[in-house]
Amino acid sequence: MSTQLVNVSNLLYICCKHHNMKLHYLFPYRFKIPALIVLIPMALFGVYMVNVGLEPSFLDVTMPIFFNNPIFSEREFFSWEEVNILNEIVGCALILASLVVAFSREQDEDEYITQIRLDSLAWAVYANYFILFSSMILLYGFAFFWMMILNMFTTLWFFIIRFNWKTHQMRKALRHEA
Amino acid sequence: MKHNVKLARVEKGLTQAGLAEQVQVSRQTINALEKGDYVPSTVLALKLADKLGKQVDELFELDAGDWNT
Repeated sequence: MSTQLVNVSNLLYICCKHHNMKLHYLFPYRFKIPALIVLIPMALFGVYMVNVGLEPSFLDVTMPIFFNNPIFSEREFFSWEEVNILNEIVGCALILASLVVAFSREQDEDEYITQIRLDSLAWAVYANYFILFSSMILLYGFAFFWMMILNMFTTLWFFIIRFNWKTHQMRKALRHEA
Repeated sequence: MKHNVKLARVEKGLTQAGLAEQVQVSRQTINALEKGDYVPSTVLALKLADKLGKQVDELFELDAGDWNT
């Protein structure tokens, strides 16, 4: 029985390797630039929106709320409330655009690029949690709250910056050698 | 890990780009591998050995330091 299990796991491993399964979670390369074109203005708009407290009235919409925990009233489950959805639109667009930029294939995608991607992801997680750790000690009140909001995006942004910097350096070094 | 990829490639009269095309990776991967910046996967090592007409252990050799990582 255990031999059969080992054989099945070996077979699965071989199938995964032959179908290059490790690359299946990546988006096609052609999505990267359009996503970047959405990401940069949306990030700048997000900063502006938060700074001026932008909430245009035409985006006041009655939405289904799964769970609401207001400061001065009772908790509510499954209610309908009028909310301004600009924050949600910008937040969701930022997350989607960041994910696509971060996890699009490169034109010359291969196992070395995959290695750089993995290193950059680990680096980004460390950098993000270092900032969160420092914020817990150094920031209080709303400053910490805003840092938490920013932290939702910074893992992906640190990854994007580090990964693209490393691949750029690698290609530049190769051009100099050629 | 020590390797003789560059030597074997030159013996075969291949460029980095030519070898990269044969083993289906980018030129920067061959370049990084030859500079010792990257250790290839088992699949790539086997492909390199196949295309360079060598055994894998003729191309790649463990370094004393590899036992201490």
